[in-house]
Amino acid sequence: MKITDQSDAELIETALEGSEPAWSELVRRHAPLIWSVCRRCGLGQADAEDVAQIVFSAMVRRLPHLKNRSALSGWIVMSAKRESWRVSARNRHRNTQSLETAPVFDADEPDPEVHERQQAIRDALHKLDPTCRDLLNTLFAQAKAPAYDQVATQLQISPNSIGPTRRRCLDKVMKTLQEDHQDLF
Amino acid sequence: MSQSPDNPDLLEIALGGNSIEDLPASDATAVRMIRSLVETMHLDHVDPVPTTVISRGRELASELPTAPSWFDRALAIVMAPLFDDRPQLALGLRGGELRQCTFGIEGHRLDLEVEPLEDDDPNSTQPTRIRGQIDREDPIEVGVDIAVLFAGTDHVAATATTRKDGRFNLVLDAGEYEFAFRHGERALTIGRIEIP
Repeated sequence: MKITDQSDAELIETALEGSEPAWSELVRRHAPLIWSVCRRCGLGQADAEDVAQIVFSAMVRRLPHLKNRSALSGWIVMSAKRESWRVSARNRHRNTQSLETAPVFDADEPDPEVHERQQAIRDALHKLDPTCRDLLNTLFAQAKAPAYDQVATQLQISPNSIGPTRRRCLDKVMKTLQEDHQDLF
Repeated sequence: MSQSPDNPDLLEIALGGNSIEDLPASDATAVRMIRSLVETMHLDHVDPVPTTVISRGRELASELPTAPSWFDRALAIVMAPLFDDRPQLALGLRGGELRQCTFGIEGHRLDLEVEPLEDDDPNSTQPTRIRGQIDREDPIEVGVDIAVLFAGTDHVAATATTRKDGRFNLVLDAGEYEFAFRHGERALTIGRIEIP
């Protein structure tokens, strides 16, 4: 089984045997989650980078003691939030504001499951073949979807194939989400 | 995704921001999924994780603690071989047919039956079934944990827990293993065994 297809629990077990590739995959998989939590808590880029490293450091120490290895994402969200709030409180206390670009999202969190939902989507996207992943990213990542001719040129595919391929790729993602994370939606 | 003249493409509904109140539950869920998908991809595009975050995180691999060893080899009690139904006492549990052997020490006795499992696939290695029973002068009230480790390592190949009568079953592929039995703080071992 490819390491990218292994579950968090499987990766943790392998990492605890000293596997650096398993740890690297855990970092790759969960870095966007930590980042989005930090930024959604209102941290600037430098503070968010520091919090991410703190969370990863805590994670590497806690790995042998995690009771529910399948719930690693939940532990990460909780740890990143706690650390982000601590940094925010420290910044307020010092009465300093980051001079960097403001984070793109509000600090208020009306949707407690937003991070789990986004992580589920990232996991589902990562399971796609590269063609599907590239197509969906090209079509949906930007605020304004590019024209099909532009997409076709960029991805070197026929413009006529974009619609059916888009549908096939979306169906794959939806199937994964319905099988594994129906409760989050 | 459903598409018919009476049921507009869900993707169009999702991207158009239309209300989903009147949709069937399954379609409404699908639209929510699509909207979350687009939102997440857009988020990761406009505010991606800096590569330094990932590279610094990966460097922590050097700090990975390893899981505690299953048993302390220096303190484990080694059970001596007491009986072997083959003419020659050997460290190997050889295949071919059913074999019985016994190990024991300090009021503990371990009986093993070792039997190769039949496999029709000529290309596969033949696994070996091990049926065992642990017996003590003092009756064991709770299960004894058993681990079979790849010889000389802390990597566990198989585990079992004894049933009320001290019996257990294992299946192993060919290899060299250490058998360890743990009950409370006490550990026993029959040392290194080869299964061909």
